[in-house]
Amino acid sequence: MKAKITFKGGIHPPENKDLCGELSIKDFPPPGIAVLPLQQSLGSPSEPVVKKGDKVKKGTLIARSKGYISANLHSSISGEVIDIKKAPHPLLGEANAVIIKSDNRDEPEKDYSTEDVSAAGLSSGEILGLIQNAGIVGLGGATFPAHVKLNPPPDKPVKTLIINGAECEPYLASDHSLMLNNAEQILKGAVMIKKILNAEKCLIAIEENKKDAVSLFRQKLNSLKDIAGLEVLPLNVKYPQGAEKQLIYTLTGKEVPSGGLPMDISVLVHNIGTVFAIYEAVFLKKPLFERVITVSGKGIKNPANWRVRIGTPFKTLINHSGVTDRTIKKLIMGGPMMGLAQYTDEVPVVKATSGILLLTSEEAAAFEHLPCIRCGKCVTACPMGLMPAEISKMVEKGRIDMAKSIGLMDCMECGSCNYICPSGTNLLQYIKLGKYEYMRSKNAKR
Amino acid sequence: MSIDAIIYSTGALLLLGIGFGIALSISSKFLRVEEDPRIKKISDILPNINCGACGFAGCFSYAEAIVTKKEKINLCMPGGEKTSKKIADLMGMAPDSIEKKVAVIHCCGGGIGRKKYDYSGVKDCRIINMVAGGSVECAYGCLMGYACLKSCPVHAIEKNENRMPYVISDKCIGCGRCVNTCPRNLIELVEYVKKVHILCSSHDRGADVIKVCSVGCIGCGKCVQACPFNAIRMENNLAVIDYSKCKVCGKCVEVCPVKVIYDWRKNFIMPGKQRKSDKKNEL
Repeated sequence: MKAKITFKGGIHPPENKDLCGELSIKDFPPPGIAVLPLQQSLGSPSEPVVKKGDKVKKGTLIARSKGYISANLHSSISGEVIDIKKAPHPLLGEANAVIIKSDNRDEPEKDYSTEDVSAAGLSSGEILGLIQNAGIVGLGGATFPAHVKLNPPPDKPVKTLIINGAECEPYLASDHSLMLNNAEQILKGAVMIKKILNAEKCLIAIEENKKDAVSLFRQKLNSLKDIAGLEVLPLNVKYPQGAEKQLIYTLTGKEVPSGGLPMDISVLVHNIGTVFAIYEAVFLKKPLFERVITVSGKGIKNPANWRVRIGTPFKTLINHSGVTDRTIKKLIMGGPMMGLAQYTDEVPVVKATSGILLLTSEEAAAFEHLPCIRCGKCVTACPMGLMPAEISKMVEKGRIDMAKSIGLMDCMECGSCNYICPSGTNLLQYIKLGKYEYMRSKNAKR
Repeated sequence: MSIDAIIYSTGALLLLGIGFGIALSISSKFLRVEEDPRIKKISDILPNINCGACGFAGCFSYAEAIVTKKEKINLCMPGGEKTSKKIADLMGMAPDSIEKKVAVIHCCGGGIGRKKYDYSGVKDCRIINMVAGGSVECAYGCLMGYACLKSCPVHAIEKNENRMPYVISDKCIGCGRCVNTCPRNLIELVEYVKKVHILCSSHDRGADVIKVCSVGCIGCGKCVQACPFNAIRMENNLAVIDYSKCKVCGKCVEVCPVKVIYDWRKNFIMPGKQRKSDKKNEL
């Protein structure tokens, strides 16, 4: 079966996914110094349980979750805690971090390579406990703690589980390579999640430009027996196909209500990377201390997909991959559409990092900002059905209330409007400003 | 088209008009709501720039609140004492004293401080502040995005030769719009007569301040000792003037080694020299 419909709007940016070449995953050597920021998930930052001078091993718990929406943090290398201080953070600018100096032995806390076959028989409560202990968060970029997401309130049962393998961001190929190399493990993880949620079906959604992954998954599904309700669906190639709400609409035809969550319409979406991490946590008892990322862009000499330890500084990765002699314009964490530009290469890889892009001036051209010509292209491109030009104008004039009334808070910041705008106006920045001002006035009223 | 059609349609409209006119004139007699004439008068006295300093939506709603809800009459900052007195005469109340307040931007170095990165995008400091915590290395200083300048209803904020915004005290009406706009909370409303200000907000340690800015408070504490009225205190590596104790003697201005304390009776526009090493380009 093929997903028939698609969502309204969207854009077709140049993919540049072939920069990485072959889609094997290489292991990146453990860094000499790992910087592990305490805030790596949505919600409150975790609380350190180690102090300066403590010896840690690979996989040792170094910070415990604080509050319900928070996640555990584990050491990614073996060595000694040299400090807990403020350090550059790719998302927050600066945040407290545990800094660990490697002893070059790379000793694991316990053996993470043997698969525990008995894990399939665990109860859902036990599995949730394992996931919580492993500190797993949504690896698509939102970093919502997985154990919270997998524990929906009883009045909102999840019927459809969607595994998101769309990877619609240009350049990034980390999910693709993960699907090709670890298909069986991902399927096992998906079955596990389906069991916890008691879901009726599980849809694995993959964009059509990854045909090899689609056929591989279909082949695996045929060969494995006890997996009723699993289905692989190819999707149209379009940005932002992998956005949660657009993906749900494409696959089920249902819309998530404004301001609501997917579980309001009995759907849950998990990223491929998260599913693989859940597999590792349940079957290998391995906490989340490494992930697959893409290091790419035309500024990188040898673009590749790396399995890299959390806390590795960007600098180490970039130096290892080599820099071309073209003029470098931008360093981005994540994809070029939604990723965040970084001002320094000292920032470490965090759980939210899906890729590191070093863009040259030809790829990241700066536009002159011309006035809006009211062509309406942004309205056509907006996958949420909003009017970005109108909203941004209202925000510019300080009319947050009016902007709110035409859907300011429904924007998911995909950047399609900015991409398509012939005048090069920074629509998204104004929308972000509007959201910030709205939240500020709302907090002030309280 | 015959002439009849014109006559009939015109006649019908005429009749409708007469009918509605009569209905309206009757209803205006019987359904009339008496409005206190003082509301209109007070509204005329108020400056009518709808700045919002009083906490109401505009001048008219403040006038309404004075008459109907017995609101205090000293809330209009731009109008000042004169307006308050006029309203007091009209309402038969004792005039309340009103302290003229003006905005002060507690930073004089934003542009002198070093840049973290080259920013390209919308020139608005509220947006710049969202990009990796601001484009200047000082985590407390002005980002030179001029959101305050745009928000000012009376154009009392201007840029000096270093492109640093400053408030012209004589033009400022103390409405407080810029105070709410500043993403780094650098702006404070201070009484007009207090002319000595510490123009820095950095809570960093002295050594760290010197690294990022040539005109930042290093927390040496000399001003605290120099003040004869105990009006200056150290707050987390930053000298802060307690304006209720300050007698505007100006002794602190002389002792400050980094020249961040300004006496605005002497020199109004903030000086500040740009160092050659301040420009830093990376990536």
